[in-house]
Amino acid sequence: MNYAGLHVLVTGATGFIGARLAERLAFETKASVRALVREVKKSVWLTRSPMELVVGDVTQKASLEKAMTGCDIVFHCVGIGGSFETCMAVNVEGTKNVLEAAQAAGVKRVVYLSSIAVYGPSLPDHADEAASLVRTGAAYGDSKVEAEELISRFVLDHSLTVIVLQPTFVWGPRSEWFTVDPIRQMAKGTWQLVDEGRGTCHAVYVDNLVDAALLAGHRHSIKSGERFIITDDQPCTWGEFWLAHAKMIGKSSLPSFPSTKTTKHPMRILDRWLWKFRDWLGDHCPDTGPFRYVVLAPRYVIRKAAGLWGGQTIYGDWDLVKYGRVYSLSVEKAKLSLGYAPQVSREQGMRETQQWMTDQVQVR
Amino acid sequence: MSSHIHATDAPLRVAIVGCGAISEQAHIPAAARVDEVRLVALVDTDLAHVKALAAQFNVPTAVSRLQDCWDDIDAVILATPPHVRKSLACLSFDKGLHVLCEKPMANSSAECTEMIASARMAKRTLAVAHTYRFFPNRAYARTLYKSGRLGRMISVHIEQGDPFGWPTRTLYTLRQNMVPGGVLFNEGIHALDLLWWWFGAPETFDYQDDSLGGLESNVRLTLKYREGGIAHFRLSRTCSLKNEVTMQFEKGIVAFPLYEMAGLTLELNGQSKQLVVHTTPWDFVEVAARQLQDFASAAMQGRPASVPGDEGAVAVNMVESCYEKATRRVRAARTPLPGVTW
Repeated sequence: MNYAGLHVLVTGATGFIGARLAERLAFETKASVRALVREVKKSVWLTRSPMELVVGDVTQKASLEKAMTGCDIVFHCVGIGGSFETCMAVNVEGTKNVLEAAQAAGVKRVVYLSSIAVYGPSLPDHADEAASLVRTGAAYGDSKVEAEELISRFVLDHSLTVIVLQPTFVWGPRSEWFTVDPIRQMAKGTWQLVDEGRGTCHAVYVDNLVDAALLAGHRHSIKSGERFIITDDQPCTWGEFWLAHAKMIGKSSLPSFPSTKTTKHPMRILDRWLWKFRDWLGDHCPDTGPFRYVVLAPRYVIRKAAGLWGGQTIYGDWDLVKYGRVYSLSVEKAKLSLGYAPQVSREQGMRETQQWMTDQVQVR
Repeated sequence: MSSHIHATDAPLRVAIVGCGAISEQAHIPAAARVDEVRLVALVDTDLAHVKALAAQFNVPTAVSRLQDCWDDIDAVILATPPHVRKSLACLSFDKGLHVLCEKPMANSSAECTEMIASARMAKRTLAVAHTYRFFPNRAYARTLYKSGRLGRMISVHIEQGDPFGWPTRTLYTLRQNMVPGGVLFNEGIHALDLLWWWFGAPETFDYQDDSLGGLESNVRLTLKYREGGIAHFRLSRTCSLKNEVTMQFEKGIVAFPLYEMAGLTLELNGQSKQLVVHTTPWDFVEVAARQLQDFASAAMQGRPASVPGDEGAVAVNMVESCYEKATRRVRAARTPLPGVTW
């Protein structure tokens, strides 16, 4: 890919995806790479490559102005889970700051890393980017919806080109959510399949996603505001996906539980009501502040207790749908417009992940 | 100005230059435990910080330049980032001061050579803070080895790794414009010094790291010794490793956790026992105090310190040799990850 002579900034560069993107830009292309980091201490992956570290924070607009000076392309990889306040401040306000700073600095293009979560957990079969964005009440997903809507409005009256990528479940080396933590739980015996793992898994290996991002930063024919779903385009069942992970630690089977039973479990019902009460408090009594989180405290006790007594993981509603659903998902748009063609097969990705785990993660 | 042999029984007047984490956590509190020295000045370019430290630890002088206090001192502890150690050490020797220099002694062996020559010319003591030599368990086991009771070394395994978390103020260890290397240069140099101190120079070695043109974060080093012994060293600042040292000899095994100072496991002639070779409380401040005491005595008596400059230079030289040997990667279709293709 021809990045020669280009200056690029990667936000969220100490994170899982941002770090991999930054080091691949530095090593594989001739781009001049700048990494936005909140804490230099967390940069030991980045410092392996010749790149410039700039200390800053997407919630601090002034720090972005310095970071973007002279930049042609910004890869905006910051994304955070947690409370509504945190998600809105970082994922929405942070994105607004990035767009405004990029426009002011004369940046030509921003590639924004969104998420498949913008469509909610229940994407229809054969879904593609034409699906509606859905607010579900979950902080992370709603903040990503908000950020995408912000981008749609922004591109209408600004010259800055913004391309949105919507990766599914990003796995591989350094993926806490879809690789490291599940494997640790498998080792402890607390990771379970839903409905024997029959649901469809449309995951994306980190290097395939990075390939898509590099294409999005480079293809000039794409219209500003376009969004692209990114997967490995190699669907399998969640059972196959998780068992391939389990094999890395010498396990050949995983326990399973039926989603229906769990949905009707009294603990689940109480759990769900507590969650709704917390959201109701947020909507009707916005000044309750941290009290809303105190309301949620029993949820953690419930989950822990259910895990200890029943030996069963209590997945949230979203996860139950995610892991139980059988559906297809199209990446045709990314293939046609970006020229995206996943280079790393699931088998190859699993081999690399196992090698990385053996070297970097002690699973006890 | 002090003479080569400290003229009086009065304590050595010391300034600490560079007041980051290691000074705050070790050198400054250690000075209070050593009768042979009196800490009279703290020097750091961050004047507000150094003034606050001086107030906290009751040090009379806080300045931003060595020149502002050097008429009132006999010695300096150099705890700055390594890229300025050579110039500050040479300046100190010119002024007739003794120098205890943090590790790595300098950014290159050429700089080390200059420092050693400068110390010799000024007839002053140059000591290097290879602190781990002052751990009582290392010293005890080495004496045992050197006495011949353990026999020939068969193999050594050293694993050292934790996600980077040192509370550095300057972040120099992560800045490519301030250091010539990463985890081997900064954290791994202790193990290199340990291996040299015990077994001398290796006959051959193999080295691999994960640098992509920047500072390495993961290292594998294998050293082969003349008598057939082999040492394996795995080092990381991205992941947690066992952090232990295991040495197998003809007649026994010595093992200790990497950061353990007093305890060790000793298996000798088929019998295994847990030993604690020092019963008083032992921590990094105590280690720094013993090191400072050794330095002060050396300066006062005109003898070399336990870790003189030329031994500090050996470790820097070994790091350089490793970097020269590293297979530098060329642009590839896809960037390698540690453990995947390195």
